[in-house]
Amino acid sequence: MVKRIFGLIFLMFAIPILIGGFSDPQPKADFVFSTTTEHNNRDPQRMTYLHDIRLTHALFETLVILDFNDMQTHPGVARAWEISDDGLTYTFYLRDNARWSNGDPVTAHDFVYSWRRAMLPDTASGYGHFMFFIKGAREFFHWRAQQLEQYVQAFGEGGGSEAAAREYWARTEEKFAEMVGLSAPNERTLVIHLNRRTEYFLDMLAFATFMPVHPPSVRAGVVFNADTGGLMDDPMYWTDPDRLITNGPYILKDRKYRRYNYLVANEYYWDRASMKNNSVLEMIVSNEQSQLLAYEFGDIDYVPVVIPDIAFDLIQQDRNDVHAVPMAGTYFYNFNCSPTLNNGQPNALVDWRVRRALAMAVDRSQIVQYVMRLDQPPAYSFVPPASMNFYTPPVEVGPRFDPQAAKELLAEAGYEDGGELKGMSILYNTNGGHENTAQAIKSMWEEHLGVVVTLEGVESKISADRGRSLDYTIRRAGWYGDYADPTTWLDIRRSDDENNTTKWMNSEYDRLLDQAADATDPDSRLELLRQAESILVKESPMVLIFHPVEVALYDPDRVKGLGINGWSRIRFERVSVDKKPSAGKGQ
Amino acid sequence: MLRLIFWRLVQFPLILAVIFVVTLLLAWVVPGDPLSTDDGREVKPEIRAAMQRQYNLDKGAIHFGISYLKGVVLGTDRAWPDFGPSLHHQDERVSGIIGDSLPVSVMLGSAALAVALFVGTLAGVIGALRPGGLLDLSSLGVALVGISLPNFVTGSVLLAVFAGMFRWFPVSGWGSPMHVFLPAVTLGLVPAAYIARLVRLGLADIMSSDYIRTARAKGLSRHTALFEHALKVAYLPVLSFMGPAAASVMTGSFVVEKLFNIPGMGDHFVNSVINKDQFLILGVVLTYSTMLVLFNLVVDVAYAWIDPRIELG
Repeated sequence: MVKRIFGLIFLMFAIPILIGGFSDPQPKADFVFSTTTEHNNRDPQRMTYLHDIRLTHALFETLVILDFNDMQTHPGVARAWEISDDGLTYTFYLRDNARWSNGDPVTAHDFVYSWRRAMLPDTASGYGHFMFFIKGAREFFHWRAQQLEQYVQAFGEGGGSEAAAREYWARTEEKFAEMVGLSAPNERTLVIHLNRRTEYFLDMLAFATFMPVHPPSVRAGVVFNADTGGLMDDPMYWTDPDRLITNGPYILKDRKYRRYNYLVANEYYWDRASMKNNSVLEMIVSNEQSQLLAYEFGDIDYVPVVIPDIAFDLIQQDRNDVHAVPMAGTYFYNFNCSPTLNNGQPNALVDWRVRRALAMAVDRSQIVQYVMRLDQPPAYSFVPPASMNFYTPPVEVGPRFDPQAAKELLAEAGYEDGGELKGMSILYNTNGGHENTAQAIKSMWEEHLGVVVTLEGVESKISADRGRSLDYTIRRAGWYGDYADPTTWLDIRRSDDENNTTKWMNSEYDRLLDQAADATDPDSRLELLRQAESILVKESPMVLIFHPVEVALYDPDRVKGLGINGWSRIRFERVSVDKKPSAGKGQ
Repeated sequence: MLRLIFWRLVQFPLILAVIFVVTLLLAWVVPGDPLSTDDGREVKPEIRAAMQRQYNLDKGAIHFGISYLKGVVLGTDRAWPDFGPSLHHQDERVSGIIGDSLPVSVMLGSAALAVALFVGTLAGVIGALRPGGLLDLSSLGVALVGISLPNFVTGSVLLAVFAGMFRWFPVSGWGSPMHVFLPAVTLGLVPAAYIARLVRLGLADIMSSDYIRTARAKGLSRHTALFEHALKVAYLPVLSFMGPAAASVMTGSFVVEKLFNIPGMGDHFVNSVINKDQFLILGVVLTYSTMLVLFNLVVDVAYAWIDPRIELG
């Protein structure tokens, strides 16, 4: 009997040994950094998350590289380019020595293929609308979407075939060549025609959606869906480390789900000689405390973000390896600005004076000092002032904390007594520590204006859903810039932008943004943008609260060339690490 | 015996089908949009429509359920069973995610069960040797503490002492036998406490039963009576406990995995629902149910193995 019980115990011990053989150490690398979540995507045309984009810049290289430290564009795959006088035609000349990690040359056709991918509704690219700057791209997207509708109508459920889908696709390819202002006259020349002058188009070209992918390996994973007629692009296939072909400084040598991504230098990279390291390891550590311990033990060289609670303690310790970085982003509360609420009641927030009064009753300095505690810059403009050195947002128009003036403005709008302003509720997502700020703002509104609000914490997917269907009065939100131009913020408050979930509509604002887009002189363009932002800030479709600060960890004596910035982009190939642990580490 | 196994295997698909339908409906009615991003970025409505079509979310729960089942049962040219793509980790197939995380959880779970069996049986037997004695009381105390303390407390204490202070074990991660020890002890302590109580109670009962008294009166030593006769019977409740315990321990624990940074299954039970990742939700629920049913079957077979007198079926 006892033998049998011990047999059982032995069996339990034997299972792990049988399964794994179990020694699977993580690789060693020249530069090790950490992240707390597994990636969502490695497909440049489909990714939307910042942590995905950060890693992808190590794997793929765009035509031009935007250096967020000097805000200048530098040659990438393109060695030179010409812009026509009307600003509508861009001609790029590609490097002769730009190669894919399998040795193939990177050609202009690869860019055409990749960008066409982003324009196709089949790909469902989250940033596909960035392509709509290119002439005919928007029309092509709609043409294909309509063609797919026709396919479904023609063949019905289960009636289609691969051959039919291929036939539709052949017409799509012809249509693309005909409609879209994107062409490759030869292997090394890429010509782009734009809809209108776009001063920041070069900066946008440095964004992940514009990265090239290796057409033969992507095509190998594409199938024709007989039901929908569309291309079924299987990203899980070609982004596998065994098959992933890259043109950037690194290749993805190995990855283990929720453990690490291991990058080693791409020997075919044209600028291989000036790379400062040969390998990069991204460790995925979901537990913040473990991440900190691993950093203190010297296992991690760079922690890009630590959570606010830990960050606050670290800053108190006055260490030289704790770096507070002001982010190119804004934290705010959206007001629902539509005339009636979803329940049919009239919406008091349609009056800009009510919104501005609420915005003026928020003491931002209290929030950044006592709630967020990282001394975030209070926000008086939508565009973060520190994000771009060439644009000065109209912070002087922004609502400052002034309870008395706020009360008067509210009275002017017909609410002598703030208690009459009923039905206000702050909707926020529960992941990410937003509750304390919501509590603070709730009590400020009650104290200074007598406005009673309720708090509603929900999961972020629910919050997003309710934002889209305008099922809220006040909703927490945030926005980080994608490219270095004020329009990356200002465009999302255009009347027809899908990200304008406030339904604030101002024709003068839209007109000024249009005018700015057409302006030929850079200075007057920025002035027009400033005027537009002044309207936005004055009318307060949102309470601008603060510009986020992220706290990063690295020892500046050991880790060189990191150049951290508020845009979460790192040029990994420029980082060098002196592996000798410095004195006093890990105490 | 074979008849039992046969009937269980016949019921098996039916049970899974019921679980599948209920889970599908729940996953479908949960509010929130699986295709929205956490950072609140909206995509153009036409792109959203294209995404829904691509993931087969545009034609309702029944259509989705049927095509999903087709992939699971028949598989596709990429995988079998194919649980579809993950909506949140778009670079992964659910089959791949489960294929990566399940072995980790099974490994950790079986180590935890071994800890539980060893510690639990030992404590139970020690307690039963001298009922009411000091050893009995202290093993009862340990069992009580083991049941009452939540995982994250035991885990944190073990981490702080053995990884932080003594540096005997790595702080977190996965990849070597050293990584398994602390989480296995953390995960195994609660079932160990249950096992200790079951063994202790069972032994005490049986040791005072008539047939043991007779055996003892006939000159059988206390030692032989305990280990050769009583333990056999006292162990049966432990075995029935082992079925569900094995299924739950081997399919991962969210808390222990988070604490020790282990890439196992536990995380998916929580995060797939938060992310509204329908494909992953269904995948992990089906995997868990399959394991639960299979382990219960194994337990019934083990009954017969430990005590051949027991007839099944």
